Amino acid sequence: MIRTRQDIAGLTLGDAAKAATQQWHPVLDTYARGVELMKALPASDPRSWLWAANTHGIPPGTPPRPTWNQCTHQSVFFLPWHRAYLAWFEETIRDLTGDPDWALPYWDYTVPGTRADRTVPVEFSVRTRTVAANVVPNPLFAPNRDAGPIPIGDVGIVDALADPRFVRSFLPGFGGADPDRRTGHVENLPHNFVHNDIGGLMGSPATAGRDPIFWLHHSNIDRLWEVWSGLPGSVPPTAPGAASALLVAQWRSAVFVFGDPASPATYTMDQVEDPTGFGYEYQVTELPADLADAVQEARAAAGAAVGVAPVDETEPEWEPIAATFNVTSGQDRDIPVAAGASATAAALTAGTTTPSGLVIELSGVRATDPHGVYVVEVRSAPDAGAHRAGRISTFGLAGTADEEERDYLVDATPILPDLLDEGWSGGTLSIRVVPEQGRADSDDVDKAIRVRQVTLYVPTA
Amino acid sequence: MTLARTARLVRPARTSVPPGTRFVLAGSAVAWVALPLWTVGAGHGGAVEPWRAGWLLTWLLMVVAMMWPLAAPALAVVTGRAFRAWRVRLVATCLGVFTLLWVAAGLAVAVAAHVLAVPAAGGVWALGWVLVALVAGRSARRARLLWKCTEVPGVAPGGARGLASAAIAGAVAWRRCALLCGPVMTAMVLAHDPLLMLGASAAAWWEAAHPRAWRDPVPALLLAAVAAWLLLGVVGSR
Repeated sequence: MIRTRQDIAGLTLGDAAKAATQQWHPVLDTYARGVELMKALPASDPRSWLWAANTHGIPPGTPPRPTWNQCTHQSVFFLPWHRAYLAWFEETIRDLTGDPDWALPYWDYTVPGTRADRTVPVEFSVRTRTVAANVVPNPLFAPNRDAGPIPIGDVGIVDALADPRFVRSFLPGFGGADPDRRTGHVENLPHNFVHNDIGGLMGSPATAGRDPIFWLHHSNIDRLWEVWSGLPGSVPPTAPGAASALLVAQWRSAVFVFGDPASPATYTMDQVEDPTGFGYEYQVTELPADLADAVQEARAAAGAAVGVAPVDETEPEWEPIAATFNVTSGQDRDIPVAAGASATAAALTAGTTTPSGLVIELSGVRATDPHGVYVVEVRSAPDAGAHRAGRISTFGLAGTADEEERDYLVDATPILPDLLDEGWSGGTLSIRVVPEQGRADSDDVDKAIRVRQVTLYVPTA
Repeated sequence: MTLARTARLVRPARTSVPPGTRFVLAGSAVAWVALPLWTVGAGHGGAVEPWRAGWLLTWLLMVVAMMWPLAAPALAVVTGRAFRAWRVRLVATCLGVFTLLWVAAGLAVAVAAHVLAVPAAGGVWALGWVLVALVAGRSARRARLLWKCTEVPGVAPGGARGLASAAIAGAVAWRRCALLCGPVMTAMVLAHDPLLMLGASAAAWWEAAHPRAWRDPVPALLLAAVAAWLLLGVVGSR
């Protein structure tokens, strides 16, 4: 039996007053009933709302269970783990509501269009709803969400979809990197940014699963994986030459485990790679024409021949040439290239070669209450103008344990021509990490993120 | 499509062994060859009393043979994050700490076994610890730890900070290996049985390549076979 996960744009009443008083679409009504039933169960019940949410993450201090706190971020398993997680959750809703046809909808905030497309659907934002003429609390409501639309710059999917490879060996591909432990494109944007933008419970992996909109957000992320898979030329990690034998072995043998550890629900990677095996499909997996054109243009511009599997030889080897330590946001920091680091670094500082790429790694990043988004600025000299090398979402740092750390890679290659034009020839670069302006939290006092190490990488000459 | 392009597309998946860690696998291979030569040459077959000369070299060879391949992913990360001029030093530091901690742990277990007057051949001892490993393999918490097996803490690219962070990376890699492989390695401290070593190594390497395979039967079967072999030895010796 194949169920269709529908776009909530076609299900929502689209008006808060109507959502509070009128009957909802059956898909959303079943979802609300299911969430309500889950919330009524004790946390010790694997079908309960808290168990489902805690499977993703637990707030600091929560006694752990073996199948809790699994959220698989900064990993090549981000997409498959969340796909299995959604399927398990969806099954719980079906079981509790007795509706075997129900499928989780998705919230496609990536479609260019009206502001409402990027605002949390009204069925999730009203505090009460009307059921059989009775006003009852709305189980899909969650407090402290940002009421505004998600900034359009935070839902761009062209860059993520434009990468034809699921994994790459240094800079990540669509889904991650090999070796593992990097954030794939789609995990970064839109996933992380949307979490931050919604805020409230969604702002931390420890609590995100407690917000009912979480599941529709991830349904859309899962759909984007299907969209990417359907694009001509997309190379999955198991394609010949696409990843190391070790990663392929890890990928193929992965089993995702949920529920009671004594008798868990398990999903193999074979099941996960084919959503129809889970019994669902998405209403739309084709991009609107304008987005499809933009993705194809970006792929062509990146030199990725459509239909041809890229191989390792197409990727440069990156090597560190400079590093600095213990940087706090807002602080200017000069990073001198270490001439003795390597032949490449020596050639750069001697001015006998220029780099063909530049990547900035922020590793060991910690924060307790950071801004949602930080910009990495680079100057070719302390008195030169700042270039925006990239930006990072701090999803994962707030609301988690103090020792929680994140690593970020920022591809500064697009600003490299500007740095070279200004006369930078491989000497000192100046770097600053600052909260992004023009956001809802921009006027807040920066409570600082601390970066244990900033490293500059260039392709080996 | 050119022949060269076709050949590139159909070639097998690339090697998982970065250049910087190849010598680790080579070292392991050499240890696998050297170990039986040493034990046979020294005339002590499968049993070496920990409190006698020669035990330390045997244990070191076993650590190199069995555990070095498991350090390869961490070493690959250290290699990639080090300045080229510092790669050898940082990798050597990481591997040195990893090895040193295994040697120290082995010594500690050996001393404990000596205090407890465990017989040198250690058949019952080994069987007991392999059974512990079999039971531990069913643990959900152990499975969770396996997922994190390849995570490596940040490594500075050079200098004293680089050496310190590489040492920490080696210690973290050892700690995970010790938690996951501790029972079988404890068995190995006394019982230098080649089949035990082979089975335990195969189980550990398989798990490293399949860390998310929930309650994978392969390592369990390997350890069960080893346990059966040890049981035959224990029964036969009585």
